[in-house]
Amino acid sequence: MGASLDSNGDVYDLSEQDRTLNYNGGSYAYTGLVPLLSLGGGAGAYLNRLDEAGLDILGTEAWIADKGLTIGGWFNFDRLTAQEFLIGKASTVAATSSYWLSFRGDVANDPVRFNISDGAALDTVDVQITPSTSSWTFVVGRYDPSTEIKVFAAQGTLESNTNAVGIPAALNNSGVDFTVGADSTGANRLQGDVSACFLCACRLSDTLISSIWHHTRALYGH
Amino acid sequence: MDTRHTPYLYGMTDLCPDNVLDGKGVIVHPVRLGHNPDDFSSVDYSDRRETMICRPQHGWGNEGTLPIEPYMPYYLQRMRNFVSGSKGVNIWIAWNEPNHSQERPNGQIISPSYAATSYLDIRDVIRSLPGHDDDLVLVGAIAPWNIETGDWLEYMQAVYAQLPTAYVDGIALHAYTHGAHPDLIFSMEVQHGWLWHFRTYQQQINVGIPDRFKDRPIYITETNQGDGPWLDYNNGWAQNAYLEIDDWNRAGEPTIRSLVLYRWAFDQWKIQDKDGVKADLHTAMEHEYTWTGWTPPDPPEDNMLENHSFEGGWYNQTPDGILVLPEGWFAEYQEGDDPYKRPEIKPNQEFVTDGTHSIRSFPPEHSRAFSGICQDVDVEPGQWYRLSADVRIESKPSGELTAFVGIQPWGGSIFERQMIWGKETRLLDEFQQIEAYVQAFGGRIRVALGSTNKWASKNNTTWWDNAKLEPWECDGGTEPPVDPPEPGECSALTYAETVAAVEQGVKGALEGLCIRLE
Repeated sequence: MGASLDSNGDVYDLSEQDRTLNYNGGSYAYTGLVPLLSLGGGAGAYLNRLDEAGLDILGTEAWIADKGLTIGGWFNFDRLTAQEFLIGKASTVAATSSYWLSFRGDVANDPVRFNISDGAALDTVDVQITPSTSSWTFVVGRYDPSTEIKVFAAQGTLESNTNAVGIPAALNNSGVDFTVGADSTGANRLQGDVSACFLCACRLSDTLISSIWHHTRALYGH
Repeated sequence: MDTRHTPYLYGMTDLCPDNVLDGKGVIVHPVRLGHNPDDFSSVDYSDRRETMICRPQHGWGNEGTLPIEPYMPYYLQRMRNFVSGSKGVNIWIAWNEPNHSQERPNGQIISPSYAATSYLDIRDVIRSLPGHDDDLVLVGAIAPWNIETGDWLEYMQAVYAQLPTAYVDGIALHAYTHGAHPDLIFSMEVQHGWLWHFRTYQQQINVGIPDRFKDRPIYITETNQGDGPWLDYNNGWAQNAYLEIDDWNRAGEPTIRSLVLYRWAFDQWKIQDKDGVKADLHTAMEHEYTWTGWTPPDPPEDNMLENHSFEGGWYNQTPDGILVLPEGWFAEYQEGDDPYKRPEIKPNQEFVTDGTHSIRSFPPEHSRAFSGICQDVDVEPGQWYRLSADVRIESKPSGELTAFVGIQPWGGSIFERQMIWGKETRLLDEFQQIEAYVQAFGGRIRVALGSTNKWASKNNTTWWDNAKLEPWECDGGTEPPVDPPEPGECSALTYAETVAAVEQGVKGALEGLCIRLE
């Protein structure tokens, strides 16, 4: 998805698919050479795009050789005490959710979590990082149908964790909005910065995810 | 220079006995790690005198230099355990010859992308550990001439193309000859478009590595005579190899810090039972080749002065910035007693005879000064030395400014009475070379570029450039020469005359004469 920003806070994707994300109101800011959106955590301070076929990634797409889903971006958390939705397509209820990343400042050790739903149940996987309000965190979630879900997070080194138990063969085709910085209901808002988000309708290899981390980290102070 | 790093070029693969390198070089130690994240075994090199380079890798042969991707997180944890517990090492090689089929995990090809990102991940792990944040993690060597994963040089380029500039600490290369003849070290033979012998290292540096990495330290971590075992004969192969790298470094090319012989033990290339090869190495070690000091190059061997042309940097001798001296030099001057005042000394680019800088020295306006720009030099007692320098003087209105060079043959201050000055000059507004010939009485002498003005006129400036100190062969003579002596010629003053002359302590008393002890 990448990002370029306009004066309304709307975000334009760089994949040339014209999937503009709409800013919903409230305070925002963006600064610096690297495009980033600074979300204040207030009502409406998040991005959304209405449900559409291109965002309904199930992991069964026939034209994809390496089937699955990979989602991620760079995030800077301003608070470390709340559940914050980072990016995805979910309401956090299984029946209306599909895939999303979250920061769980509300549970022990403040993990970054990758969540998926097949419409009936949620599967999650956590990775421990040492979050900081003064530094960026690189976060990626990956769904490998019937095999595993894996979450990556990096500040100094790229850490990962895998859940390979009961992983569904397909994701739920949810009808909710795709959102950044809050779930599709506008709740669990992120208070912090967002940059260089991406969504791929395929399974990126560990090597490629590591490569993305290494090639973008210098822009985010690592 | 990194003080933990040996300055010597020599090296050996494997933990050889201490007397093989006598502490003068590096050891490359390959270690098999596996990928058990609960394995905390490590290495302890605390007792080694050499600089240690550890090459941890996933395994040998079909185990792969790197694990397959699913095992990488476990391997990285194993790496974390290993480095945390290891002692006496701060240089690591991330992997080895990933383009070679014998380094593939379960026969699976290691792509340039996988090699590059693995290097970055391994480097992250190592440098994130306490006490290792400044470690050197070297990009491993690519197997030269190998085409099992495509053209090896293109593979090398592909690896480096995927490495961000800021995240590479150093580079490992492998270079061999195809045969045991010592001349193959210098061979420029080309086969298949590649330099076919030891000078493959030049092709790797010039073609395989992008320019953006050429300021990183380079290590040749494997070398031998090629496809077969070492020829057990002191034929000069190793001597030529170290000479070649020393020449490369002296030429100002990207610095190679080590040339490591492969290997001490274990396989067909083992050296431990080959006295001829060991003798070759030890003969090469007599040259005491180092990688330090060649950027910028040291002065020519016949010039004993450091920073002789004043191109090597400047420093403030006094906090007020009045005395700005070239590195390696300092000023002595008379001050406090009338009529002399402290001069000003500064770098200058207006009048030079060598390079881009000279020294400019001048007293305050309407003042007198007597000063010398000095350097202490270790010498051989009893040896004659010639000191020369280019000098230009300007004196307006004339203050009878004179310039001279001299040597304090016992060391110590240039204002002590043992100081011997050469013939002075008052030639205005153009450079000329002046000189002095003096026999060293002690093991350290002080050389000086001196000047003084007789009258306190407005402008009395001296420019100095291109100083030189060299041994002078002086076989004796019968008459003091009128002109500066030719090699083999010198004055015939007796020791008593010499002492008497020295005791006069008068500038110019000896005026360029040789003095010989009898």
